[in-house]
Amino acid sequence: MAGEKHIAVETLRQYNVKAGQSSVSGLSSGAFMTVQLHLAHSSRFVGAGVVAGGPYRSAESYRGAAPLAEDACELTALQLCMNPLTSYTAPNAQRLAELARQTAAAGRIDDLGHLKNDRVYIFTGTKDTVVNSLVVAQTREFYERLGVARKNIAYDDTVAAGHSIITDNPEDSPLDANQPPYINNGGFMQSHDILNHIYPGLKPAVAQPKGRLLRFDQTEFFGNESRASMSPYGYAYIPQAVEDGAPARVHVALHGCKQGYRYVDYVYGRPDAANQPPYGNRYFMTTGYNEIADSNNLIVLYPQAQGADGDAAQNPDGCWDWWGYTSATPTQPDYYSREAIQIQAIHGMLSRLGG
Amino acid sequence: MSDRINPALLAPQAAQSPLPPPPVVEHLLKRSSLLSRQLAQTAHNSWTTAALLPFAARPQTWQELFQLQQAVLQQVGQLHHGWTSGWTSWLGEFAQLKRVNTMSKLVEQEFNLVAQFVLLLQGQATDWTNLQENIEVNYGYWLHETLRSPQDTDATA
Repeated sequence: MAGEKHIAVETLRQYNVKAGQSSVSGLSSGAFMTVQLHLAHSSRFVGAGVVAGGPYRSAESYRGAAPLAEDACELTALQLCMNPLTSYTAPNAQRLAELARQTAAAGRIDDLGHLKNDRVYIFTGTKDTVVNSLVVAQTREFYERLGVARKNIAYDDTVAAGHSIITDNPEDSPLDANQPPYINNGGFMQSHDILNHIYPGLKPAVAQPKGRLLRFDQTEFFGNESRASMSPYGYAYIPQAVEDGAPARVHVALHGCKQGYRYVDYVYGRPDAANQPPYGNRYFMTTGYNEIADSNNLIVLYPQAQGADGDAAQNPDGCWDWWGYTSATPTQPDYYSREAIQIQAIHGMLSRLGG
Repeated sequence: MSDRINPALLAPQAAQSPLPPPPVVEHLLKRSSLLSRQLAQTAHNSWTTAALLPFAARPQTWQELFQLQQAVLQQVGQLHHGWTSGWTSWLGEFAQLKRVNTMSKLVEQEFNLVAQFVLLLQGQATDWTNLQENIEVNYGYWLHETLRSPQDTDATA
C-alpha cells in the first residue's frame, strides 16, 4: 500500500542460540545434502533427519561410469544412487564410510568423533519410485559404520508412501504418489517425528504459531555466484519467545527438487515462467516444522535452491547439489566439503543465527 | 582519422582467445562426444565381461546376474505399461474431439493433439535412453565390484 513502511527483505541476524545444538533435515536432494552438511560440520549438529536420501559422496561410487569425473558423478547419481537395479548395485556403505574417514583425515570436514552421540532419523517409503529404498538402507548402515549408536537411529521403511515428506494436510497428494510437490498426506506430520527423535521430550506442536516467517537476502552467503544455483531469498521461522530473547536452537530444513519457492517447470527445454506452479512456498509454510518449532523455541532455517540449466549449473529442477554440478572444477567435483559453495552458504546462515 | 582497425593489432589477441565454434557445430560435437562415450562404455563392459570367466563357477555370480536381468525386465515392463496407457489415452482423445464452433478453436485442438503426440514420442525416447544408461552403469558397476578382490576396500578406486 502506498505510504506504508514495510520491510520485505531483512538481513539475517543473531539470536540467543545455543551453539553446537543445531540439527538438519531434508527430503530427497535435501536429504543427500543433509548428510553432507551433517558430516561437513558435525561439530555444529546433534542430529539429522534423512527422508529418501543416500549416503555421503555416494555419487562417487563408480568412477568408471564416464571418462570425466563430473559426468561419472552425474550418471552414478542418477543410475546407482536413485535407481539401482539390485542391492548389489546400490552404493556401498562400507566403502563410503571409509571415504568419509579419509575426507575427515584430510581436514576437509569436521572430526567424525562428533557424530558419536548424534540422533538420526531415516525414512524411506515402500512406494517410492524416485529414490529406491535400497539406497536409503545404505544410509543407515553408513551412519552405523561411522559410530552412531543403533539405538540413536530411528529407521522407518514400513509406510506405503511415495517420494515425499508426509503431512496431515487434506489438500496434499495421496500418500503413495510420486509427483511434485512431493508433499503427501499420510495422516501425520513427519517433521514432528524428525524433531521429536532428534530432540527427545519436545512439547507438542501448537495449532497456530505466533512467531513470524522472516524473508532474508541469501545472496550475501554465496556471493551471488550463478554456479551456486541458489535463490535470492531464504526464509527463517522465528518463534516470538526467541524474538524476545529466549534461548533457542536452530533446525535447518532443506527442501527437495522442484520444491524451492522459485521453482519453474522446464517445458521443451525452456523455463515456463508464465505458468509457475503454485506450490513454491508450501515446503516452508505447510510441512509442520513451524508449528512444533513455535512451542519449543526452535528457529527453522529454510535455505532455498533454484533451477538453472546453463553452462554455470545443470540443475533445472532446483535440487541441492549432491553430485557436483556447482563445482568449479569438473575433474575434481567438490560438493561435499566445508569449501563446497552451497555448504559454505548454509553454514554461513547457521553461524549468523548463532548456531 | 580512419575508423578502420589495423588487423595487425588484433592478431595477437585473436590468437590468445580463438572464437568458439558456432552453437550448431558445438551441439553436434557434444552429441558425437556423448555417443562415443556411450559406445566406449558398452565396449568396455563387453570386454570386461570376459574377465568374469574365473568367477563362472561361483553360483553367486549367476544368481546376481539373474537378479540384474529380472530387474531390467521389470523396468521394461513398467515402461511398456506407461507407454500403452499414454497411447490409449491419446487415441481416446483423438476419437472424442470436442465440439468446436470456430476455426481458431479447431486449429488449436488439432495442434494440441500433435503436441501431445510429440510429447509421447519424446517421453518414450527419453525413457528408453535413460534405461539404456541405467543398464550400462548398473552392469558396469556390478562388473567392477565383482572383479574387485574381496580384501580390497579402497574407497577411492
